[in-house]
Amino acid sequence: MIKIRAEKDLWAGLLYVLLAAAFLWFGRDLKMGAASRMGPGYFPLTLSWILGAFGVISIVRSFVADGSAIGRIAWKQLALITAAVMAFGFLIDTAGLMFALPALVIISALASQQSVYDLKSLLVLVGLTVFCIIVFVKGLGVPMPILGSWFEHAAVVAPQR
Amino acid sequence: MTQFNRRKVLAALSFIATAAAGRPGLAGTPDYPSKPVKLISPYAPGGATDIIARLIGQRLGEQLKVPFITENRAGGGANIGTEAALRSPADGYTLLLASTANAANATLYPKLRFNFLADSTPIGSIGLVPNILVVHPDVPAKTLPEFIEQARKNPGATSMGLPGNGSPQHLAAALFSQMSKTDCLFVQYQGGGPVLKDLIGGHIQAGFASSVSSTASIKSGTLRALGVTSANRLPTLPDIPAIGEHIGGYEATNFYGLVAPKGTAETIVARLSRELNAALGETDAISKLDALGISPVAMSSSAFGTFLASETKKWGEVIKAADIRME
Amino acid sequence: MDIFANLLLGLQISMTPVNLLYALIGCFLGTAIGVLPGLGPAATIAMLLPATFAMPPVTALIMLAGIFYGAQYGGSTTAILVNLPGETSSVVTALDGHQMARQGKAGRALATAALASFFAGTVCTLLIALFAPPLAEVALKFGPAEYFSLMVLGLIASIVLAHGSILHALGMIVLGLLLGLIGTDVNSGLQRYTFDLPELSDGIGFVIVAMGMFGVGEIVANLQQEASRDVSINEVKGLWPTKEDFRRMIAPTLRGTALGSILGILPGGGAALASFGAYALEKKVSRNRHEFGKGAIEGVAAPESANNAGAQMSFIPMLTLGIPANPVMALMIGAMIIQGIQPGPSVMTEQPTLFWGLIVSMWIGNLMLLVLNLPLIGMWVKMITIPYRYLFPMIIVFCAIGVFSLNNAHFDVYLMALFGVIGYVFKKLDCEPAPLLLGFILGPMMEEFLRRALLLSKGDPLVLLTRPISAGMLALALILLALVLLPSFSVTREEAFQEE
Repeated sequence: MIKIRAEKDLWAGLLYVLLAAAFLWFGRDLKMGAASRMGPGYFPLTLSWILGAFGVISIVRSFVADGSAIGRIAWKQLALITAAVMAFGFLIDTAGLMFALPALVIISALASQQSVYDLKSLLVLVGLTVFCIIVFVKGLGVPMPILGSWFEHAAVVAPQR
Repeated sequence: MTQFNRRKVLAALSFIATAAAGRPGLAGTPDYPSKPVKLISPYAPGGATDIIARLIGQRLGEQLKVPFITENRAGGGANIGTEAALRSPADGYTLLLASTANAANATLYPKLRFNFLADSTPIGSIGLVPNILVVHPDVPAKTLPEFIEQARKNPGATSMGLPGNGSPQHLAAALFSQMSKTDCLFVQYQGGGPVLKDLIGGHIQAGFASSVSSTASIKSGTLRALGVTSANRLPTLPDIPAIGEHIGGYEATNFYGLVAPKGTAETIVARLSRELNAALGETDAISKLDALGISPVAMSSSAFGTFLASETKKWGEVIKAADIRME
Repeated sequence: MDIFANLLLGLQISMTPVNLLYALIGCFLGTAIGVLPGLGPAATIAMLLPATFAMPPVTALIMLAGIFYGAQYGGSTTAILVNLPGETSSVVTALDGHQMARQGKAGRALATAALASFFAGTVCTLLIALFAPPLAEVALKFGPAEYFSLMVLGLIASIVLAHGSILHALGMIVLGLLLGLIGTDVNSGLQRYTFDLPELSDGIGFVIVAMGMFGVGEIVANLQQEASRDVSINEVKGLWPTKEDFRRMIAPTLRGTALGSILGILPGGGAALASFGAYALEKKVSRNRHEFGKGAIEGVAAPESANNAGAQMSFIPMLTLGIPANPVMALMIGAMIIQGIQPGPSVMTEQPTLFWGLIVSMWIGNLMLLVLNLPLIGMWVKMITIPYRYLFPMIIVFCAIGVFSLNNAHFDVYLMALFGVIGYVFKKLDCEPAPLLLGFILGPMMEEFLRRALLLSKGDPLVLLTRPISAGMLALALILLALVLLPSFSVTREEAFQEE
C-alpha cells in the first residue's frame, strides 16, 4: 500500500480537482470563442483546467514528498458556528435583530468549551444587543428590522385602538 | 318632544357628525401614513439613480411628516429590489423607485419570478433623463449626419462604449443602430464612469452618456456632443440637435417613477400621487432634479401606468430586434 | 494662480470652525464604520447624502471626504486587532498586523499604521496640489491593454504574498480568479455560474468572502485550539513603537507611498492593487523579509501608506475630469451635482474655493485622524485582551450585521456561512486565504480588460506589446515572476530538509 506522505497535499489536491470539475461542468454551455475574440467561457474553462492541473500535481506530490497530516477536524465547532450564522440569517428578517442577535451569540457560545453561562454573560449579551441596536439601527441608520415580519402579522391580528 | 330634549338630540347628532368627519378611519382609509415608509432603491448606494430615490424620499418624508427610509437592494439589474418591493404587503409602507430598467427587464429576463406591470400599482412619474451621443474630439465627424454616414461606410469600425448589457444607454444605442442602419462596435463597461474615462482618454470613439455626467466635458471641449436622445433639444445644450431631428421618430429617454405593490388601496395611491406631484412642483426640488439631469414630469397614476406599459412594449421590441440577451 | 496663494486660500476655507467641525465629524464617523466590518463608506455616505443638501458644498465634501479616509484608518484597526479585513485595502495589513497583535505588539502595529497613513496623506496632499492635472493626463493614457498588464503584474506580485507552498498559493489564486468570475459577464451580459439566482447575478460580494474566510473560518479554527492553548491575547508589550521600529518603518513607508500614489490615480482598480503591491515589493526588497507573515513591522507600514496614498490620489480623476475612480467618488460627484456644481475640467478654475478648500482639508483630516486614533490605541489594545469566549461572539455578530447591511439580504449571510466552512477547510489544509482574495478581486477585472483590449484591437493580441506602457509592465511582470520562482525552489527544498 502506497504511503501517503503528505495528507494535507492530498486533500487539497482532491479539493482542487473537485472544484475544477465543478466549474467545468457548470460552465459547459459557455462559449469559448477564439483567443483573439474570447467568449464568456474562455477564462473560466481555461482556469478550471489549470486548477485541475494544480490538483493533480498536489495529489502526486502527496505521495512523493513529505508534508504534514491534517489532524483532527473540529466538526462540532464548525457545525455550531455555521448553524449560528444561518440562524441569524433566517431570524433577522422574520423575528428581527432583537432575536437574531441573541440566537447567534448563544449558538456560537455553545461552540466554545470556555463559555460560561452566568449572569455576567447574560448582561454582556443584553448589552451587546442594545449596543448594536443603538449604533447600527438608530445611529448609522442601517435599515435592519429590530422586530421582524412575524411581529407585523401579530400587530394586524391585535385589536385596533 | 320638549325643547330640552330636541337640543340634546341635535347636540348628540352634531357631535357624532363631527366625530365621523374627523376620523378618516370610519371613512374606510386608515390613518396613512402613521409609521415610516420604506422606499426601495434597487441599486447600489451612490449611483445617480440611488440619489434620486433619496432626494424624493426626503421630500415626501417632509411633506407627509413621516420618515421615508431608502433601502438599497441592488442586484440582478434592479430585479432583486423590484421583486422584494412587489412582494411586500400592499399597505403603502413599501414603495419602489421604478425606472427604465423595469420596463426593459420584462423582455431582457424571460425567467423573472414576477411580472412588473401586473404586480405593481403605478403612483406617478418623477422625471425623464435624456442621454447624449458623444464622441472624442479626434473623431472626424463633426455633426450627427456626418457620424451616421461615416458609420455606414465602415461597419464595425466605430467603437461605442456603453455602461452595461441591457442598460438604458445600451437600449438607446440599439435603437439608434436599428433606425439609422449603422453598425458600431458595442463595447460594454461596468457603469458610466469607466465609459467616460476611456472615451476622454481616446481609447473608444463614441458613447451614449447621461447628460449630467457628460455636460461638463462637453462644455470644456474634452468631448464633442452630436445629438441628444430626448425628443427636444436640451435647455443646457441648445446647439446640440435632438437625434430625432435627423432620424424621424427617434426618442430614448430614461424615466424614473414611483410604484407600489399591486393591491395598494386607491386612497393611499391617490394621496401619494398628490404629494409626489406637489413635490415635483417645488422650485427647490426642481433645481436639484435639474442638476441631476432630470426633467421633472408629473403624471397622474393612471397616466403613469399607461406610460409604463408603452415603455415596456417599446423597449421589448428594440431588445428583440437587436437580440439582446442577459442569459 | 500661484500655488502658495492657492494653498493659503484652501487653508482659510478649511480652517473655519464649521468646516473643522464637519471634518471632525466625518473623520470620526469614518473611523467608526471602518472599524465595523462590512459597513463601508459608500453606504454611509449614501445615507448621509440628504443631510448634506442644506450644507454649503465645501462643508459637505469635507465631511464626506473625512468619512472616506477615516474608513481607511478604521479598517486597518480591525484588520490588525482581530484579523478581519473589512475592505480590500486592509487584507494585506491583516497579514502581519494581526501577527504583531498576537505577539502583544498590537499597539505598535496600530501606531505604525496611523503614522504611515499620515505620512502618505501628507505627501499626497502636496502631490495633488502641485500635479493634479498632469497626473490625470497620465491616468487617461491607461487603456484596457495597460490595465490588463497592470493586473497581470499584480497577480504575479500576489504569489509573493504567500509564505507557504508556492503550489498552494497558485492554487488559491486560480480558485479566487474562478470565484470572482461568478456573476454577470460584462462583455456579453451572460450570467455565469449563477444557477439562475438573481442574488448571484452581480457576483459574490468581497465582504462576504472576506468575512467568511477571515472571520468565521478563523474563529472555528481558533475554537478548535482553545483546549490546547490560550487563544486570547494576554500580554501587551508596549503601546508605542520602539526606536528600532521607527528605524524600520521609514523605508517601507516611503516605498509604499510612492507605489500607492502611482497606482491611486488609475481609476477602477488602481488603488486596490496599491496595498498588495506595496507588501509584495517590500517582501522582496526588505532586509527583514524572513519575518514577513510573522509580524514584520514593514508588513504593516508599507501597505498602510500605500492604501492611504491610493485613497487620496483617487480624488484626482474626480476633481480634474469628473470621472469617479470608485463608488465613493461617484457619490461625491453626486453630492456636488446636487449642490449645482458640475464636476469636470473646469472645477479647478471656476470653483477654486471648493477645490483648494477640499485639498487642504484632506491634510487636516489626516491630522485629525492621527490625533483621534493614537490615543484610542490604548483602548483598542485593552479590548482585544478580553477573554476569547466574549470576543469571538462579538466578532461574529459584527460580521453578520456587516454582511447583512450590504443589501438587506439574508442570502448574503448564508453565503458567508458557506465561506466560513470553506475558510476553515482551507486553513486546515494550509492554504492561505490572502492569495485567494487577491485573485478574487483581480480575476473579473483581468478578464474584462483583456477582452476589451482584444475587442478594440480587432482581435490582435500584439496590442499588449506594441503599446509601450503595457509592454513595460508585462516585461516587469516577467522579471518579477522569475524572481519569485527561482529563489523559492531553494526555499521549499530547505523547508523540506528541515522537516525531515
